[in-house]
Amino acid sequence: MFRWVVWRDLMLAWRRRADVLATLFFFVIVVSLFPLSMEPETRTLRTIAPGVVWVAALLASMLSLGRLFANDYTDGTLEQMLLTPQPLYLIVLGKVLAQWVVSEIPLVLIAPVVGVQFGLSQTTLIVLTISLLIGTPVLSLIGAIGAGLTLGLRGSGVLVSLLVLPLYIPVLIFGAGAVQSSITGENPLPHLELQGAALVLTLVFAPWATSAALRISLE
Amino acid sequence: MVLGLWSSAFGWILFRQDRSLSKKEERTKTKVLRPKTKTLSAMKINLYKYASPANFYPLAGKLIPWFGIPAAILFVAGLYVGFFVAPTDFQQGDAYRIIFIHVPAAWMGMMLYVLMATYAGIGWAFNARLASMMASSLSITGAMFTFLSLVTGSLWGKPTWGTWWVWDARMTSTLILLFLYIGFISLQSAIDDVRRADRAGACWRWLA
Repeated sequence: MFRWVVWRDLMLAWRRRADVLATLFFFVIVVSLFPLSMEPETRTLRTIAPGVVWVAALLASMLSLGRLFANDYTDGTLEQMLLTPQPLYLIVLGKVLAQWVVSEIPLVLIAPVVGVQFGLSQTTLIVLTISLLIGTPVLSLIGAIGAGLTLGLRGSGVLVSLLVLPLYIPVLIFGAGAVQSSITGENPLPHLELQGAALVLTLVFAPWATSAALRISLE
Repeated sequence: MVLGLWSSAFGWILFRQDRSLSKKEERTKTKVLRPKTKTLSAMKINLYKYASPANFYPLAGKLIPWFGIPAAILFVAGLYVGFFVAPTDFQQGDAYRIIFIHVPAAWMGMMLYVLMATYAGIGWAFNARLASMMASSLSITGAMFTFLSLVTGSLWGKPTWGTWWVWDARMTSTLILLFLYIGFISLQSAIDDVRRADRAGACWRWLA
């Protein structure tokens, strides 16, 4: 069941490749806007780089949340999924995993390239990639709850960001903190470990909360 | 003094709640079936009687002046004591007086969040309509107090620290608290179905 959900969502995403690319380019464009809006001096760029990349990643993951349940909700698939005897937890986890692979992995992969724009060193680029790799699943997992709650509501796109962005703040702080401490020459490991803790925590609780949210939205 | 303001703030909360509840009463009047005649069971003392919105609405409506007038009196008294009776601080001068509003407001903002989460949880778990109503009316009051504490805090910060805002952990967490309140209110107002709004709100509230 889990594999079936993941496979199905990946196939669906593959049939609509443009959506995935749109999120990716959104990320790249947002990150590139910052050097354009100020004097592109290497020192300044290095200082703002962690925050800019992370905020852009947050916003980009926000964009793809709308698609997580919306299509299945409109054609009734989601309702059938809720009726199956298999645990909803696994279905939700599968959908989130697929969403992460489709819209967040490209961000993680492009992040080092974007980081070069900001004159980051090689170690910092590695830390940036690792922190994004640990942090983005948390974004997907938390975002899924917001997507489940706002399913089928008017203006749900803006609402999701209102609900979910405050919850993203810890991920942002530790993610940007890891990169920042790597720039200043400190040990980024504590930040990464805290991010890992957040990942484990959300991995356990977020699909469960999403299931509750879906049941509320679909009753 | 602080106690006086606290109690006045608390009275104000009750006043606001009652007011918002009576507003709701107007809206949902058509839905609620009110018992026209007093039955025997209604005359007996029943602790759960006022847990029913149908009985609670009239009670809340009647209680508005009983809480509102003491709240107004205590409010004025607390402000008077804070502004005129309390001695001037030797270090901060008169600027410190805002503490009599700022601290209770911040305190209320945090406490109401916990209280609201509790009510929302009760409403979700036991399907108690009144608890959910309490949660949603508390959210507006809580957001108001959080906003008030932020505003008064920056008003205090300007003469004492020389800046309106610093990214200090306390201030940032209060700001995030305000965002959470706003998220809750906007989620509730976006959902037309009241039951779904309550449940979705409770689900999100517990998560946050």
